[in-house]
Order: sequence, then structure tokens, then C-alpha cells
Amino acid sequence: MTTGDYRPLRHMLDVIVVLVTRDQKSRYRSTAMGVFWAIASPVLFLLTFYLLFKVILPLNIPRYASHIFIGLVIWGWFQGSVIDAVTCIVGNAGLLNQPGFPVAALPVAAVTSNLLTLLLTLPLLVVILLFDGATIGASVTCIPLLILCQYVFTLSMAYLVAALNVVFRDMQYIVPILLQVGYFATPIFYDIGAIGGTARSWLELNPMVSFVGAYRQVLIFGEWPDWAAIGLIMALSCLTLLATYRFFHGARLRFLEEI
Amino acid sequence: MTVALQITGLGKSFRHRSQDEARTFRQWVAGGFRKSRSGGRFWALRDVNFEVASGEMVGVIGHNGSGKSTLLRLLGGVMQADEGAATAAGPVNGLLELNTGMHPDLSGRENIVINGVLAGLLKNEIDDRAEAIIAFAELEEHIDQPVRTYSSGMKLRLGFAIAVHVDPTILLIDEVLAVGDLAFQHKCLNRIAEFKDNGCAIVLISHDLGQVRQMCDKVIWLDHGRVRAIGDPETVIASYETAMSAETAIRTRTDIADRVLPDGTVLKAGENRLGSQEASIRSVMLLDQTGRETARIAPGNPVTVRVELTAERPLPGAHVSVSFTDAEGRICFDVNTENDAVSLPAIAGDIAITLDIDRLDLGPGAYLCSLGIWQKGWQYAYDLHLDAYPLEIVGGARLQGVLSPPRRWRISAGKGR
Repeated sequence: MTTGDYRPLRHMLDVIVVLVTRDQKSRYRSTAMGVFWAIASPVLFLLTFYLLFKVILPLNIPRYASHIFIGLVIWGWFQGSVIDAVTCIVGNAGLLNQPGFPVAALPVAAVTSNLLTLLLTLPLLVVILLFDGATIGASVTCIPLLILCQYVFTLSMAYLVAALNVVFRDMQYIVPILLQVGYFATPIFYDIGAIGGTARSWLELNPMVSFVGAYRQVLIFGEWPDWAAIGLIMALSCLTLLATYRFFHGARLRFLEEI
Repeated sequence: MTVALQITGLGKSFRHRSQDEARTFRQWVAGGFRKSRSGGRFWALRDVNFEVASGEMVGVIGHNGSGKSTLLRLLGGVMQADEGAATAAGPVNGLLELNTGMHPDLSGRENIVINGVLAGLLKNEIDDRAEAIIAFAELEEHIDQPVRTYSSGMKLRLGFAIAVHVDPTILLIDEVLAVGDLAFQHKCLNRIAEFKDNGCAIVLISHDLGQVRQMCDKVIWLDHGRVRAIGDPETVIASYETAMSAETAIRTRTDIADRVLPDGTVLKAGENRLGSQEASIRSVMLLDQTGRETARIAPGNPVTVRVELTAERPLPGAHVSVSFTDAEGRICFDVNTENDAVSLPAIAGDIAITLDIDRLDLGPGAYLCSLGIWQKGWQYAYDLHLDAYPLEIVGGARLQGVLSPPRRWRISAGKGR
């Protein structure tokens, strides 16, 4: 082939692009509402939580609509990626047979496709922020960095669950339960400030707490995020990604035997 | 000639799954976090040595479970060998499962890009080849329709067309050459021959011994993971076929009662009735065009062969064969469900299979019909009735030829000089 040493890398990128496009197109083409499905789910939850905790049992969180919506879409990206990653190996057995197919692209595609779904909700997020009178300042420029950090963290989890599900087939049932726990352990509809003491320290071990908090600081209040926490998470995520990728890579050639 | 694939001492073992092995996280936790490895290992493939040169095509034959697919996976580098190595001199491409990446809701054109990339091409390479692929698949009119509207033949044609536009230097093919109608199959085989002429090294797995004989330069016969024979196609296939009929002989049950057929022929196990009897032929009827049972038809008339089968347990993937032999023992007509791309449902209980022959253009004379039901991999027969059902083609004397199609003679004045 002509393109030399870069070919495997270019091919892997093309594979990711193709898998993401296939996922996105098929997700929105087969339904009459199309792209609106991407925002229908967070909007529905937004309305529910708004009614519950603003009208019925007020939690007194400022700019509550923005607060929930950020929590929902940020958590939604993580949850969607991990759910898709669990079955990405078992569900694509045919591709594993293909000589030269970059198996490592499958979890990347799962995370990337769900990031696109998140990006589709951005216009609505802007509308809600404006409606809430959020302060948007220069700190908004660090959003891409936050997304990158969360991407690395999510991908490290994606590699882990993808490889684990090949060994333990019930991972695809366990992971949704763990995610359900994570959903409540992340301040999506409540505020972390309302929790004190040791409980809060325990909750803050969950990186998603810091992510959701950082996006809110930036988008709602125009503040800069807590760089120490984000930096620490980024460093740890990189290490975890390295470890889980190696685990995935080592298990890669055994996938076909186990499926 | 340069060596494209070098296989030395290749071996692959799998673990026998023991009953108590943790297959789920729950069992693993309940078992005290021990991943039981107690199950012994068995060799799915061992001591395989051969090489494939550029421009050479090697056929791999053997029963189901003989290690053919494992060999192909090791050659493709998607599985790790436990012994020895398979070294490829260049990138390896596969013609394996054709439609794996396709999405039914997307159009044929979109699926070309998807499947092309998944098969190893870059996106811009596919853009250059898309028109050629569409033309090859003969799908110009449907290419922008969603693939779910395609017939299964159209899908296979598209899958094949994409797969053969990868410019392989080493190509692995697994049983996919029987795609679509005859004309398309011919096109596929031509394309493969073209690859070969351009120096592509090819490894082909096939159950179609005729195809292997015709296309391959060398044949490897795998038997329970070992190379039983390797060499020129004629010799290896001949010994494979001998072993296969021996397999039927070994499995033939002789403890079943003789059956007297309506015309007086006696079916005697071990003589004109062979097979393991896991499935058995209860009755065979030859019917004329009015649906009446018959033993005499005129040349060129239709005839229907109706077989009633029964099996005690479900037998998936079985094949049925029908043949006619003339008085001299020549096989004049020989068909089977696999060759005609008819897949039988898993035979369980009673089932009737009917073969309608629109015109049996055999010359006048006495013929005997043989019927067989075969194991999935043609390894042995479940039940085989040899030369048991007579059919006479009436109308004049028997001459030398086999065929007697409908015909007219015309006599008219010559043109002169």
C-alpha cells in the first residue's frame, strides 16, 4: 500500500468515523422524529425534575433548569457511552473475524457517538442558559478541555467494561445497575452543597461529581473550574486509560475464543 | 516465486469448558473469585506446516470441526497461535462474512462506505471505487434505497462486490463463492482468478470439492486439527472422497430390517442402503405431471421426486441428493440441495421434500434413481438408497447418447454452389 506507516492509524480513524456515522444515522433515520429523540429524553427528565424540585418540593437551587439540564446531558454522555461499550465486542463478533480490523476502535466509537448526541443538545442548552439568565464569561473557553478530560475518563471505563463483558457475560446486566447507583451518586437534580460531612467526601470520590460541578461553574456562573480537582482527575484518568487499554489489548486476541 | 504466507508448526488449543467454570460475574463471586481453569485443553489445530506463494491458491478441505476456520483465523491474525507461527509478507484481507457491518436502514451507497472501511480500505479509496463496486454488484437502480428493501441475493452481491474491491495481496476466502445466480458466481470466480494472476496469494475454505479441484494449485486436507494430506488437488481430493465414503460405510447400521419396495426391489442395509439412520427415508415417489405415481415417462416430460423423511432428533444443515443412473451405471443426472442453494430446515420429525424437474431430457431406456440424505458437512450419509427406484423413459430404442431433448428435423433444398 502506498501511504506507508500512517495507514493503520488512518484506517483506524476511518473505522471510528464510519462506526459513529452508522450509529448516528441509523439512530435517527429509523424514527419519524429523527434528531429530536436526542433531546427528547433529557427534556422529559428536565420537566419532571423541574416540576418535582422547583414546584412541589422546592430545593432552592438557583437557575434550576440549567442546573438539571447540564447534569442530565453530561451524565447522559457518560452513561450512554458505557452502556454501548458493554456490548460493543459481543455485538460485533463478525467484525472481529475480519483480518486487520482495529478492535480498539469499537469502544472509541461508542464514546464518540454519544459525544455527538451530547453536542446535538447544545443549542437547547444555550436557550435554557439564556432563559435562566446565566452568566457566560471567558471561562467558557475551557469547555473543550473539560470535554477532553471527560472523554479520557469515559473511554477508560469503556475499555474496561467492553473487555470484562467478554469474560463475564452478565456485565451487561450489572453495568446498568451500577450506572443507576452512579446516577444518584452524582448531583444531577440535587446540589452537592446540600450534603455535608463525610458523606460529601465519599461522593466526591466520584469523578462525575467534579465534572458536573465544573460544567455548572463555567456555564451557569461564568467562573473558572476547580483546576486542582480537574487536573487530578485528568492525570488519574490517563493512568486508568493506559491500564484499561492494556487490559483490553491483552484480552483482544481471546475475544473470539470466548464469544 | 515469493512466499506470501509461511506457516510453521502452527497449533491452537482451546479450553474444554468445565461445568463449574464461572461464565458470569455472579458465579465468579460465588466461587470465591477463582477463575477455574480446570477444564483440559484440546488441540483444534496442530503441527500445520505449509506455505503459500504469491499467485498461488491453496484449498483447505475437511469435515466441519476439522480446524479449517481456526486455521483461517490464525492466518488472519485475529486469534493467537499457541504453537508455531503464521507469517504474512503483507496485509491480509478476508472474504469471510460478507454483510457483517451493513445497516439495514442505510442505503446501499452508505453501506458501501461502511463495509469498505470495515474490510480494510480507507474512505477516500472507497470513494474512488464506489462506482465500480455498484457496477459489479449490478445494483445501479437500487443503490440509494435502504438495504432492508434488498433481496438476500442483492445483499450478498453488494457484500461480495465490496469485498473484492480491496486489492488484496493475501486473501482468505471462507465458503462465500456461491453467491447469487450463476452469471454472478461466474463473475466472482473470474475476479478471484484475476487476483491470482496479479500475484495475490489465496487460501480458500470450501465444501465444494469441484470448485477446489478446479481453482486451487494445492490442497490441504485437515482432519481433527491435523494435516492428513497436502499436495496436488487431484490426489488429495481423491483420497478425501475415498475416506468420506468409508466414513458412511463405518457408520452404516446393518441391524435394520430389509424393506421391500412396491416394484419388488429389496432395500438391504449394507448393500443398497447405507447410512447411520439418524434420519431415514420413509418413502420415495416418482410422480408424472398429473401428480400420479409413475415408473414410465416420455423423454422431455416433467417428473417430480417426492421424499418423505423422518428424524428422531433435530438435524440441522442436512443435504438431500437425487441422482439417476443408466443401465451401464453412468450417472446421468446428479443434483443436491446444497449445490442448488436450498437450505433445509433442521430436520426433526417427519418432513417431505419435493424436487420438481421441469423436463427430464434423458434418452429412452431404463434408469435407476438414488436418493440420499447427508450430514451437514457431507461427512457421511444418514440414509442413502442406491439405485433403488426405477424410472423408464419410453419412446423408441436406446441409442448411445444420454440426452434426448425435444427436437425437430427439417429437410429443405440446399443452397447449391
